[in-house]
Amino acid sequence: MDKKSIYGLKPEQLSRLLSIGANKADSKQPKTQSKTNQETTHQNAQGEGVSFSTSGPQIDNYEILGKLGEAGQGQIWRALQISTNRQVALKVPRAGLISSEKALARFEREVELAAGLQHPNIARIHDSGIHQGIYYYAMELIEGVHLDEYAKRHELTIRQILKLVQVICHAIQHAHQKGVIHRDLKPSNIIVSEEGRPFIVDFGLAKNILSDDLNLTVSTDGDTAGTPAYMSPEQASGAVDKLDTRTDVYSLGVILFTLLTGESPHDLSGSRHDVMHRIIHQEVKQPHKICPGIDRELELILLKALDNDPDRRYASAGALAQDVESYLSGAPVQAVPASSVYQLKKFVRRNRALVIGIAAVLAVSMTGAVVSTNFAIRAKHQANISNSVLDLLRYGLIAAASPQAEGQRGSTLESVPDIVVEELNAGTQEPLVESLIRATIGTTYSHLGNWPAAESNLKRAIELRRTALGRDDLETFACMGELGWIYSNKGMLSEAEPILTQAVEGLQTTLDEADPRLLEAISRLAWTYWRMKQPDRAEELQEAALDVVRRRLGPDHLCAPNHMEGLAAAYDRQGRLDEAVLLCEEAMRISRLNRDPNDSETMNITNYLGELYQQLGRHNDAETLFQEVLDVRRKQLGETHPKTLKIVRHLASVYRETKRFGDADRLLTEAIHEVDLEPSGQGGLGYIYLMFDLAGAYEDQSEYDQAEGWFLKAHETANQKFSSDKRVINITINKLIDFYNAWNKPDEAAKWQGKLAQSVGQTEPQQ
Amino acid sequence: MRPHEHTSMGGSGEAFLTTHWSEIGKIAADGDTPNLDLVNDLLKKYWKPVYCFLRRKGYGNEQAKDLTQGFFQEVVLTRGLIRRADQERGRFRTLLLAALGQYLSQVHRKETSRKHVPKDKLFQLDQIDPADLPEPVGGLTAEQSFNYAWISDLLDTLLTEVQAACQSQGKTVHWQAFHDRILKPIMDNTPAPPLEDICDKYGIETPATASNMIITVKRRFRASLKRHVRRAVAGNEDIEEELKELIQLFS
Repeated sequence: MDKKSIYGLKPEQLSRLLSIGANKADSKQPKTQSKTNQETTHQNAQGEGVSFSTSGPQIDNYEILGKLGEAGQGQIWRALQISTNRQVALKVPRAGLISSEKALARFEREVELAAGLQHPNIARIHDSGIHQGIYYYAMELIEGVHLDEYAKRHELTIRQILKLVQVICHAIQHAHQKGVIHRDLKPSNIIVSEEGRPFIVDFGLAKNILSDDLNLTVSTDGDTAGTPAYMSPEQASGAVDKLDTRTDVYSLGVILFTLLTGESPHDLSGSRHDVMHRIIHQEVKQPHKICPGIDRELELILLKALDNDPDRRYASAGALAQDVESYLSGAPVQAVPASSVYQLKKFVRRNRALVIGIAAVLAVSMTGAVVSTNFAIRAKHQANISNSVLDLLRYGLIAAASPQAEGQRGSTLESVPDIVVEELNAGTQEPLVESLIRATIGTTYSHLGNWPAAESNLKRAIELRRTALGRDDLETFACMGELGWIYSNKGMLSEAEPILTQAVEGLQTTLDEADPRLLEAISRLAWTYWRMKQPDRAEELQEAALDVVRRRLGPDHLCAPNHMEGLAAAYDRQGRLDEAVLLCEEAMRISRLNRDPNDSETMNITNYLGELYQQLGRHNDAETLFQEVLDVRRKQLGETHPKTLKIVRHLASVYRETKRFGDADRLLTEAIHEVDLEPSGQGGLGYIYLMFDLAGAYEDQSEYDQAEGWFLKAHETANQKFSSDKRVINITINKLIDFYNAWNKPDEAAKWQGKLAQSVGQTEPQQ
Repeated sequence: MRPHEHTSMGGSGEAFLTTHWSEIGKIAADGDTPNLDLVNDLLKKYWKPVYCFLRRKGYGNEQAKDLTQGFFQEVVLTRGLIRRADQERGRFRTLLLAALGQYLSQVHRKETSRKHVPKDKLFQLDQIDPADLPEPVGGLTAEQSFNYAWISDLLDTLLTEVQAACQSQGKTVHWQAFHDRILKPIMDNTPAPPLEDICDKYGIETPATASNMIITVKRRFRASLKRHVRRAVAGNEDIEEELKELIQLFS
């Protein structure tokens, strides 16, 4: 090279020289170059002269940066497309396949099919061509990981997995609508970007059902194309002419199954032939047996996608996506066989307040009809109908009363149990049917915060069952768990503890250790110990339950936060506040991960974390959390629900501690006023405590006259509303005694001391 | 700052330390002492674009040489020209051009401060290269001339580098094939010879092998080009931008 020659070149020659570095020079070469290229192409088509070194194929306008992997018939390289300065995934046939005309045709088809798909979740094709006999195409480079790796790395919850697979289904549906079936869907063909966006990347085995030449789409040498683990039975049996969109549905089913359970739906041991034989002839595994967190509906979705018979599968990926959506939103899922009870359940669930009254009354009258004609109807038939009615009650009423779901409330809903009870009391019922209805109603009342009504119905349910069966069964234990919890909530701890213990022991003999019903009972017993100031026993129980959840259901399972909260409370009671805060923060994180933002359980945990912050003097943090919970509670449960009143008290206590007495006064007075306005006056114990707090706020400011007024009002209210529960009355008297002592009025204190003695005298003989 | 956060400069520290920017950085660190070595260093490296620019501005050979020397003195001694442009960083080529424009307007207003350094102590421009302008510059604007000289220098350096690298690694035939098939046709504006001819000439087995050999050199060229461009930009993200612009300047 003569250096001086550069310095005398024409400017455009400089540009051309620079373009060598940008790989553009070739395109500007005189014609002899392209002729030579064609010759080279020809030679390469004969299999001569071209080999890939480990540094990758050499293709104009692309700088190979590294190998990304093998996919189907090709290799994929990370490359820089020099003209656009963007990185791409460059796919070229495997070296051994360059000479195969069929492989080339297949490669061309792949490009053609993929290029025809424009979807945000399908990797785009940027460019394709032949360079020196090497067919290549450049597609969008997705920086991410394979689907299974992504799910594992991010420890996705069931809900998150479903949402992700739903997006993938929509992308595949797009391909289906264009006549393209993928035929090789598997986690390694789906890359999830760092932002969590999935991309379908490889259409190497795809075919166009509208136009493809069958011969071209059959895989090499009559072998069955595709990856056995994700293959549909018709694909495994080599029935190429039978492949349609439902083949992809099956593969999507396998993907979903594998992500949810961590296992393949088929046993994959043995040879490829063994596996394919099983795929063709055997049913898939039962998902819930591998993963107890999978409920019946979700299981049915999986089984429908994985049906051996394509006709019984979802007809398209879109239909699968739709059913996943229905499942996520609580709508009826197509996979569940149409039954009136199921549809009714779903209907009631979705239209709670409006429908529940009518449905429940109908149900009860139906039960009446059944029972009255009992003698003429065979027992089995009766049981079927009764079960339908009970299903309706159970799912309808409980779901309706469950405040976390939609937060619906109103007099229609709350009066339903009363109507049903009236009906029950009016006629003679078959004992087991009545016991179940009473159990349902009792639980419903409990959810509504009406403990006296809940208690009487549950007690009656237990009695009826014991009489009818002569022993305790699952249903009895469940009722005991519910009843024990009511006692515990009412502060009747010595009653609550034995009944909850019995419930837990009973449920342990009949249920799996990871069954949510058992875990809930354990948690209730632990909380009762906690309330009994035995945090070590609470800790032991919650720790064991949490261990089961983590081990069997996964660390981020939505059962975990409840036990974590309980465990945090046990720590808290032992003065281990820092541990409690950490655990509670983690519980809140998991709960928010799994549930709707305004979920009632999440709110419970948030509330508790607020309490912990308050104990640590982190008033601002506490206030923020309490305010959030209060807003949600008010919206969902109304102003006068015990849980709303509880959070009002917490927030007021923050105000008191930070000397914002005006705010405390306003908040508490408003809440008391709301309860006063309530026609049923079901303020519960919370109402009394509001008055204590308001009185306390005045006491804090040494406004004793005002404080006295509220302590006295609390006592009067207890007399009126809790006349049958002397404990509440006695609490109010005790408060008055303390207050008068603090105010330095010993005479008044002595007077109330006398009243207390009298009241206790009345109380004790009853015990 | 979190451990994984990068500075806004982009690129690795290693790449940055060896850039033109670090040379400019020396100026700032130099205080008030006139650093003759630094002036000479900059002169040797960048005189051609500056000189060509000045010639196209209408200055005669001698005057252009004086002004070129004056410019680099000014850059080093007063630092104002660079500092102002430095705030925006970016590409060294653009910075130098902008500083040159400012320098000329200063010259118009007053005599330059060349008096700080005796002229005979500076690097003599006509000791290395002919003072005559290369022919193509005649049809270009001053700014284009600057860029022309810049690119010529760049290509000159990197082709020398690539050739030397090929030779040192026993890839002389690779270089020859590249030279005959790619370089020479561009420089002579002639059609590229068929690969078969190159095979015959250098005893290469097949055209495909020859093609692969040429591609090897092209990749080396590309890598070298990138490295040089990287040295003249502030951050890695500017490399492609600069490269694209350089190619487009005269295409």
